[in-house]
Amino acid sequence: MRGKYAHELQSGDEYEPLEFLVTPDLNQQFLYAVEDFNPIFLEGIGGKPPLVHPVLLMHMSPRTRSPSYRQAPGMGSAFARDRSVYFNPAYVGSKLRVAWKVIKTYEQRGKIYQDYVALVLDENGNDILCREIASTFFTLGKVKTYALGEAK
Amino acid sequence: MSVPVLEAKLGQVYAGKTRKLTWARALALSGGPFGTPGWPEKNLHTDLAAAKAAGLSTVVVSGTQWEGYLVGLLVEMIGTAWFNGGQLEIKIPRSVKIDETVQPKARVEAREQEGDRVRIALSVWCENQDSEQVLVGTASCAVPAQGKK
Repeated sequence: MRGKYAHELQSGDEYEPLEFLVTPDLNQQFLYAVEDFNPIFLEGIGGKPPLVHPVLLMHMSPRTRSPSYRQAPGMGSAFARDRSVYFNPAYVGSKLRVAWKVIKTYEQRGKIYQDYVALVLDENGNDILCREIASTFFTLGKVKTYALGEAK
Repeated sequence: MSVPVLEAKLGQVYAGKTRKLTWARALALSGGPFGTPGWPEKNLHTDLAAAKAAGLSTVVVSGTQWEGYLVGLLVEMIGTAWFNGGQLEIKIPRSVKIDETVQPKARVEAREQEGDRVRIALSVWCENQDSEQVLVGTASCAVPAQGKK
């Protein structure tokens, strides 16, 4: 949904989807980031391409990756909790799509909470990863945060 | 691929390697694709000015980085079955700063037969250099029983 700030979205609203290609270079960049050189992410198994490392899927699935994500000036956002389910492997060389839908919003102790679902699919329409993410918005300087921000 | 966790005793703790969250690793995760003009992106995980603009006193590493350590450990324990039904629920109670260290851990809590599969339930966490938890949660996955040696 374009035009609105992220904290204004309500249950049922969607952020604009993102598509991206997982190149070998991109996957290996994330392997370097987390120092995980398990051969299944570099060579693959059973004649198939290498698997996409889960950290890359996680990195691309917060709503801040959406082309339509807009954070209001003077506001911050932070991750609160996350439930992830992996349905199928994703392979290097595939184009993935991420869709986001807001499922719940509420206010508590001066903060706006927004729960949303992020669904990662491959180009064949297979579900790869579903994340239910709870997040908060807050006014900068008014709420002490432990700084688990969501980088845009 | 063997599934080591099928042989584990209840209560057994698996520990991944301890990693130092260096600038280079943090930029690789949060700075955008290498080679992008203007790399790295400036955000609260990569740039002090951006962090301060967000109300933080210093750059903090993205929690995705050590959640990634943890999922890597789960894949080592469970194998590729993780990608067909692995479930993870977590919270991140503390932030981590550049050059701190983090180690992922998982403890086997339950093992139950589900048809021809065995569901493994785990408690999971990540610790910093002071043994403080910087991630806490649970994980589970049903693993083909024939994977058991």
